[in-house]
Amino acid sequence: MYAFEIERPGTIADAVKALQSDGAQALGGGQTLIPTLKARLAAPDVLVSLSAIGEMQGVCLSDDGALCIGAATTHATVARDAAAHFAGLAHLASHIGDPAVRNRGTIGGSLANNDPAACYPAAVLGTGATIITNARQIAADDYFQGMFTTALDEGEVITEVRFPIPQKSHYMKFVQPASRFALVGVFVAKYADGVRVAVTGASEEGVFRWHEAEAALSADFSPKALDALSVDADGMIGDLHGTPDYRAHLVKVMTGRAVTAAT
Amino acid sequence: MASVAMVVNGKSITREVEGRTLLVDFLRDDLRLTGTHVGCDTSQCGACVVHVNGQSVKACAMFAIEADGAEVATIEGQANKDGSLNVIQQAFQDHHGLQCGFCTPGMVMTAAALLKENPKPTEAEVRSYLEGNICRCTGYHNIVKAIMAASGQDVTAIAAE
Amino acid sequence: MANIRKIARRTFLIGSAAIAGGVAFGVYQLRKDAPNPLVAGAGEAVLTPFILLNQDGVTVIAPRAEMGQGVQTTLAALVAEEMDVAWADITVLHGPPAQAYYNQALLGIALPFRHYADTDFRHSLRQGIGQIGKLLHLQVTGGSTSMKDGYERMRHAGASAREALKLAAAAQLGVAASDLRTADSHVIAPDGTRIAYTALAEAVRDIDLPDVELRPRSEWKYLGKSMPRVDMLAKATGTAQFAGDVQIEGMQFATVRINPKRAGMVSYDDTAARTMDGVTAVIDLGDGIAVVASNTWLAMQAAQAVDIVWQDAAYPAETAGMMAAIAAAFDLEPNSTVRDDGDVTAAIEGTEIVAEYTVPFLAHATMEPMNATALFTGDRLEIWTGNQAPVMTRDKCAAVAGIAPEAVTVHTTLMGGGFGRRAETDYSVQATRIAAALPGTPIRMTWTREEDMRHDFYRPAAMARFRGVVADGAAQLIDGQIAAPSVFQQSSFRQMGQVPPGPDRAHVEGAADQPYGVPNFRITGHLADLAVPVGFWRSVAASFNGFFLDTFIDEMAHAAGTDPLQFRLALAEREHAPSAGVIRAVGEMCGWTGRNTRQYRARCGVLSFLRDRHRTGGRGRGHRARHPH
Repeated sequence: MYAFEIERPGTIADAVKALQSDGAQALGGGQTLIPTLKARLAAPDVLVSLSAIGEMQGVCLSDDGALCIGAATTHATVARDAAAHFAGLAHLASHIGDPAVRNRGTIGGSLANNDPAACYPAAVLGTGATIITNARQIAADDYFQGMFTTALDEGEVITEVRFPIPQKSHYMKFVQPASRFALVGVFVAKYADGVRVAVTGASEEGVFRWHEAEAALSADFSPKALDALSVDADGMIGDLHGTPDYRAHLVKVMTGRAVTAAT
Repeated sequence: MASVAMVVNGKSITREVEGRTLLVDFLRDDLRLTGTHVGCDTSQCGACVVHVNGQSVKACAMFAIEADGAEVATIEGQANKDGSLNVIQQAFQDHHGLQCGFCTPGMVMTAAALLKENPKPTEAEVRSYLEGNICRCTGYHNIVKAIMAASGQDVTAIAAE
Repeated sequence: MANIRKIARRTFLIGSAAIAGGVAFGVYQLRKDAPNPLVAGAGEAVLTPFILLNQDGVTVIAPRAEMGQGVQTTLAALVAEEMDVAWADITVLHGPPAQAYYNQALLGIALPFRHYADTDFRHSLRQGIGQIGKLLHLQVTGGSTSMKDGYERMRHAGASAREALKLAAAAQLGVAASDLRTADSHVIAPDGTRIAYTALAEAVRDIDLPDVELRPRSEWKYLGKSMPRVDMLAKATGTAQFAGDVQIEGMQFATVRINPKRAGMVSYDDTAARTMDGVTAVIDLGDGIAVVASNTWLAMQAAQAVDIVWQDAAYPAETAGMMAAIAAAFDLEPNSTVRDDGDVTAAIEGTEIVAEYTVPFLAHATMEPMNATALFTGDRLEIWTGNQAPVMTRDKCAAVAGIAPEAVTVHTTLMGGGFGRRAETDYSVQATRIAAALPGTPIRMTWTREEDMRHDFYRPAAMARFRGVVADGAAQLIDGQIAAPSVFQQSSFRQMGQVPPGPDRAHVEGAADQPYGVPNFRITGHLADLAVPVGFWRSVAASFNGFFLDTFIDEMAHAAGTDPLQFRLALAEREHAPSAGVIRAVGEMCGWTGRNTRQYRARCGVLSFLRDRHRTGGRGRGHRARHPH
């Protein structure tokens, strides 16, 4: 790692201020960023740790019935505290990485990084959640802009994520066993006004919505509704773990399984 | 350099560290607690698992400075007060849950976190909880068996050692 | 407590000049007992090279290294069994590099016989060949030979020590030694008087060790029973010392970056690395560089910052080229035809099956990264290294440090996995070269995991071509060719500077030596000319040959329309009854119900045969089946 200093502000305001300095970078749980720093793929002068900011921690229900999650909330906390309100999201959080990673990794960190195989982006896009930063609110559909690319501006910090709670939902992940990231992961959420389907791990463009499946499942929320559909392998990731065709095939299979398992 | 203070295995310590010092290097090099091992240094292998405020974390993927004010527990503090092995360590001994021993500190610390959360895990739950801990010797079986035994469950039905 | 530095005050250099010249060995030298490297300090008794007794207790000096296999526990139990030492009183240390700790069993495994069918003649021959190990100072932990090698030797040491202690006690008590007995680390007189072994340390020093018969198996208390491991407590409490745990004042931290193509450097530019704060030195190692810094991470980052132009490899750059080189070996004369039953060239009626198999190179990937800590003081070298070959480590490190082997102290620590990888000396030699460049500074060298993967001595990639004929539900013919680079030849050359003549039996183990009675059965070994470094690996060639042969057996069973377990059972019954018994027993243990593949995968796993006498050390014992989970 290059040399750098770490600051641990206690409020969002102080964090935002610290991030205004040249070469400053936010540090969430560090489960991706620290290995990245070790590989010298990032060279911040100052790391601003968000782990000591109390107002960015925790899970709660808002007045309009949305589930609000502080951006510095760990996966383990979401898995525990969201379970009673939004089982699909709690299930997703409980299968990220491994227990030690879940005790450190945060939802805000995952979303800011936008790894094309991360789990949380599927839930955020699959529910049409709202990303709240120190400066504004960003709709999920506007937030994800290709792998490792988001709508966040320099120095902008995610403070909270607000999920509209679906009637039924589930996340189905085909695990890449070495990394425990998604080879393909599909989040399906059924709302009164329709179904949303978001896919992670598959596309070179990062997380995406599968609109044909959404239409079909909105008409008939059953795996059979997918029978006539297929996913184009064009633009899918191909690597030693799976070809583009294989991933395209998995998208449909995992979507069907998510629908079957949705509660 | 920055000052960090934490309680490690019940003992208060304060040290000056560089910002980029990882918790695992701090424990091994500054505090000379070399029981916490570095196998991969990329948060894959789990040999460096310790507890921070009661939660298992990979000490190679956390900065020492972020443990400022925290209670840290390592393998060196796991034995009973009289020096005898705790129930998990004893179960590793009784069921041959280790061979080369390099992964063992991480395994014991992960097992302790599991049993705190889930005092009577099923075999499948144990295996799933060990996802982040790699062992190259045992094939995991006796580790799983030891953890099941440490939880007070009958392990005679789980295949041979 | 004893420690190696204290007890290994002298070492001997014998025979290495003769070996370098490839000269035949004098018989008298083979029979001469290897000198005892241990020296008794005040109040201590050295009873054989394996036992040190002092006021603190009994220390067993293990000739083999502990890498998880539990060998130091078992070697200590062999001593304790005959010596009547209470288990809790035993301490185990790894021995210094010394001829006394040669591994007589290691070379014997290279002979071209089927070990399940060992005859007395072959057994004797193998033991005779094994004597060469003594001359070669083959102090090696590997080849699954530790128990075979130590099985009698360690018990003899314990028995001699026990009798010597009785003689010492007899002199003190004024009774005949034959009236004394021993138990729980005490000599006990007929009147019940008990003298602790520790109290006899001084008196037993000058007593010549008697030769004694070993106790019969029926009297064993420890052996054959489950024993608590001697290393368990330290490993479960985090106090076990691996090489990377060594802390020395003033220590600097190093890493290396070596040509992944196993050749030299065209050029390198270390300007950026040298300017990094905390970097002490960048050292040219010829085939790469080492960086020394104030901590390991900084060393690793600085090593990455060195701009290096590598020379090209002496082998194909891509996998396809390597596999083509291996396939080309099929066209060469076979190096071995260890198995050639019946006539595989005869025309046999039946269904013919052919198959080709390919497996890749595999790295050992030990949990503990390659590392060693070394301190060079100008005329002496001290090195802490988890290794499976202390004499070779000592000699190679001495050579690069430019000092005599006896000026080197090797501390063989616990290993976080060895699997054959730590039978190599490359990492110890690198640490020595770095330390030699910075006299007086202790150097802890640690590899990155990337370096480990690029610089392994791999389990070789291998290919097999099989042709078989089944008729009447049974195998009539198997003709198998196995092609791979030779681990045995490569390692022999690396470690001893020469390639032993004759067929390489290890190359075909797991295929040629399987107890299947097929009327026409041939296995030929073809050695590929490919310079990718390969080395010993858990189970070595059996790791691919077992897969090749038994997958092909499955194909044959399928073609024959026969249950795969029954198919094997029929083959084994024709060849070797104990093996057939194992197959039958495993079938019962896993509830084999026939062609139920789900059950087979879930509960039966893979049935594999291990070489009997070599693995268990017990002559005449049956096969052991491994039942992996």
